[in-house]
Amino acid sequence: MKLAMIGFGQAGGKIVDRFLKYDHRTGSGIVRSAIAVNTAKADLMGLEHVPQENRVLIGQARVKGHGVGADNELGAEIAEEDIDEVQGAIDNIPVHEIDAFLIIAGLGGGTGSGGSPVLAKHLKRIYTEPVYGLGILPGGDEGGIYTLNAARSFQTFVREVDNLLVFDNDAWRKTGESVEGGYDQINDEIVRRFGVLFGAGEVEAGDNVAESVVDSSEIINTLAGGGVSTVGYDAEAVEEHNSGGLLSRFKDGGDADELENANTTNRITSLVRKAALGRLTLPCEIEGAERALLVVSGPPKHLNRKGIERGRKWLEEQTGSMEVRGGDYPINEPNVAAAVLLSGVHNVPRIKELQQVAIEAQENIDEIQQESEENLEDLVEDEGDELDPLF
Amino acid sequence: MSWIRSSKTVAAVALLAIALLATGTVTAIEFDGESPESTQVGEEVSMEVEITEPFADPLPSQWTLEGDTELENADWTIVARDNTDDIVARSDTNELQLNADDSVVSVTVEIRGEVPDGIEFDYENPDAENYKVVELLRQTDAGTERVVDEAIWEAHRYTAESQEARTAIDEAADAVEQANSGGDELDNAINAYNNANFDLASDLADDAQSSAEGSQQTTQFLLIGGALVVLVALVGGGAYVYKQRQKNTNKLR
Ligand SMILES: Nc1nc2c(ncn2[C@@H]2O[C@H](COP(=O)(O)OP(=O)(O)OP(=O)(O)O)[C@@H](O)[C@H]2O)c(=O)[nH]1
Ligand SMILES: [Mg+2]
Repeated sequence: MKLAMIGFGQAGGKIVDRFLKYDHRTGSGIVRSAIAVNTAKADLMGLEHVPQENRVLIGQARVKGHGVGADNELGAEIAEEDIDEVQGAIDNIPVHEIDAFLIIAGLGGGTGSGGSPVLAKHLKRIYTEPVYGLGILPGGDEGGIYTLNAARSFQTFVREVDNLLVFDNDAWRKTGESVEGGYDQINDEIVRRFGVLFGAGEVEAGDNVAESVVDSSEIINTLAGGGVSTVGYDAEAVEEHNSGGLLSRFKDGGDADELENANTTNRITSLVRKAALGRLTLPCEIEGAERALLVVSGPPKHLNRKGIERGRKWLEEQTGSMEVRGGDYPINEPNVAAAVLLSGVHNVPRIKELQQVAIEAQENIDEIQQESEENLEDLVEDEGDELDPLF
Repeated sequence: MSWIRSSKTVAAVALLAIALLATGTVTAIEFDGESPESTQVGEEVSMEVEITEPFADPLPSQWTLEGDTELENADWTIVARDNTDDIVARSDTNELQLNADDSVVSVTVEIRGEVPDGIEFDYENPDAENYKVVELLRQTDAGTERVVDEAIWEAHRYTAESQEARTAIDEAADAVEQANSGGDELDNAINAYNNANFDLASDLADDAQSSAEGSQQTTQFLLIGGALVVLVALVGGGAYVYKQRQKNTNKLR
């Protein structure tokens, strides 16, 4: 499926940049248009693949190109004031050629956190195409203000988009790694997961494919109904040449084929389990998910309907959902992968924890502010209030 | 790359003779027909096949000729003539019964129709993009079978977008071959082409070309300057970058 991607803030911009790189590297063609919006000039200059004319600097009058310093209320205000400048870039998107908008932002900072819900609201008012969000939650070690920003932005963003896909940095953080190097790897993981998922809808008719191929409408229908989504993924290498070669020389072809087929089925079902039960982009209980989509990708001879059907059934049992779609995404490379999109998840302890920490942070901040006002008063005012101010 | 060009002249004259070696005599059915040139989807094309010796062994003295095609809205004209060139049988459908008693010595099959869509894009194997212009079949009690193996004519087709992308890749491929650089981008362009993402394919082909031409220019400049040391370093660095880039074009892992 073809997307117009808008990266808001630094994290959003970097991830859109990465999507473009992935598109170029693999020929996937999921990014029809890419735009980066930021209040920080340096962040925009650091991008490699987003075309210059699609880099939009907003809030220049207020923050002079230096970012909003994790103040997401200011981020939201600036987005509202300068929405016309963002729209100017969006005007160049051939909207009739896209299937959806995807707004990407780190929810812990200021610009993307505050601006992305504002942009979502704006786009939904103007266009009929679905508007999805990809929100990045901060790592647990980033501190209270980031958590507070994320909790507030999350609430608003979910309300404004047609579906919010979530990626939790906290679940993917590796200890002992430099933050920058860490983000590089994390961003690759993000792009691969969502790339395979959205790429699935990009197989054109006549591409030598069976009817079981996933198309854009199935992705859209899985995301329709709103709420919060998470993605599971697992891949493994397969041999490019038929491993049944030797066997078939001794046995008759039928047996070897059957064996090969059984292997293919088992591989797919095991990949589906590992994808759904392994690390999700947003860790949560998969039971109770409202809708799901299974995409199995790999060389056509390593895909079979039976495996996908079994995987799909298993997801139905695990989620309790009656709306589990499944299909394949044929690709010529020696790997087989399962991507599982779980849409409308409810049981997400991580969000409750985020909100809890945010509430504490909010209280702390209020308290500290109160205290510091009192302390300042104490310092400035003389003991017996005998001095008069100058004016 | 020579096959790319030859694909454009695929429309070679097909003059087929199936000689019967056992008898050594010249009794063989013959076909004379020329596939249309590579054509854009939706355009009208036509072709004609002339059949001579329609009752040569092993064909029976009476049989029904049936034509098959992938052309859309096809119009058929099949005409059988005797040795004075008089028409002895004719059909405006895709079928005509041929009878040796009518002294039929030649049959012309004319077909006209629109080039069909539904291309399986394959840059490196343009034949996979072909469609069937005409196939000549013989009805038997057991069903229909091709008159002889060779009695089928295919032609290449394209869409405006696919042709543009193919041309861009052709050009880039020449540049990449000369410069021995830009191969990665070229592979990706081909990949995109095969996935029918033609805008992307053209962009990537342009990338490949500029990367190839860039490296070509650099090389020439350095040679002129005689800065061989730098050249060695550059080649080493280039190989490293190439290796790094080549590392992975996979989507899944
Ligand atoms: N996954 C991922 N997360 C990132 C990356 N860079 C930053 N983040 C996360 O995004 C949050 C910070 O948001 P940024 O996008 O840097 O902030 P911003 O929107 O530019 O806003 P300001 O800098 O305050 O103007 C942090 O909580 C990080 O966890 C990245 O490259 N990848
Ligand atoms: Mg920033």
